[in-house]
Amino acid sequence: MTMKAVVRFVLALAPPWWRHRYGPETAELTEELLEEPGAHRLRLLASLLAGSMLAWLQVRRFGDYLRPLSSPNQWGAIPEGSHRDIFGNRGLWPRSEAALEPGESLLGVIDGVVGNRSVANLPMMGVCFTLAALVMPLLFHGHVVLWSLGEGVLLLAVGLVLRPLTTSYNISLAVTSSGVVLFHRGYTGRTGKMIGRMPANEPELLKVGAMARKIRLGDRTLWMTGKSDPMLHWMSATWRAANPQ
Amino acid sequence: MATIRGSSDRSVLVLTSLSSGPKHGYALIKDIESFAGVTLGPGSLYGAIAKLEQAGLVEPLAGEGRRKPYRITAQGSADLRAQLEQSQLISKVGLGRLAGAPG
Repeated sequence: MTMKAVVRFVLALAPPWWRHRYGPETAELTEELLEEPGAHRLRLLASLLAGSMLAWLQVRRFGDYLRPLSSPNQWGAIPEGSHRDIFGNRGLWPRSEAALEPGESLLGVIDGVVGNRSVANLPMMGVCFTLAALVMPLLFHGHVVLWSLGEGVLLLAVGLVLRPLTTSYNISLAVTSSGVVLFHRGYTGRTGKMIGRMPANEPELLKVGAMARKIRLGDRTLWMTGKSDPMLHWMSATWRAANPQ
Repeated sequence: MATIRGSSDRSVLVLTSLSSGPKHGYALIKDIESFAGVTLGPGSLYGAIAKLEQAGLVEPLAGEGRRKPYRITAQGSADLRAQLEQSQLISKVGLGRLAGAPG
């Protein structure tokens, strides 16, 4: 096996977004360094392997984040084709080229729920009940209680049926320079299919809870987490700038 | 020879190198080797570049072939300046205390 093939093999271990973005450059650099007299082949390959592995560990998003309003260009760039946001979170922009308009930049992402919060979380409750019914007997040397297992499966099934019927979903609301984009959000925080785009409407605060805010945005009612206040201010400011009284 | 402990050290080295002008990967490695005595591997270098690019501290320029030069952004310059000033302050205090210490 030639060194070029080894380099290609090691680079293939890196995550696809990293390989797509930095792979060709890294391969060329490695080949250049390998051609130098007295090159430490093993050391170079070890560095390449470490780089490939570390790329898998790059941060992903857990919870909300918003760009400080004082630094408008900080989060401007989303590497094309990376299928990641600027923090390296996979899945935020599943089709990043299609999701972002030319010149549009991502300002932040806030998690929330659209529709009924209990219904949106029903499938997860079902999974938890089912797992508990299966794991508890193993821990305490008992038998699986069928009605307990059935309860979990029933909750899961009812949740999966009710969610689309009541349009109750966990969502991520991506605030961009020209409006907002709603995405489905999985329980792991990974953002899925795009629900739709909305212009920067003036958000109407309907209810302030201890942990969440109920807001009306355009024709949708959303429950956003408590950190959504800066987003609401930003949207209000944008709307006012666009529509001076 | 200096010891590189973590990604923040590598980031400072890359930003310092880019502060004198845009460079591609090979030029970055050679420049860092010349002023810091540290040889970064390709994996370490592009790991640092990926993080710096995502943070908006460096940006790629159009290059020929697979080579892509990078340049430091205004925010990257400000960030580097802040980090170096802090390091300078710590060095000053540390050296001052060592000078006054017995032995």
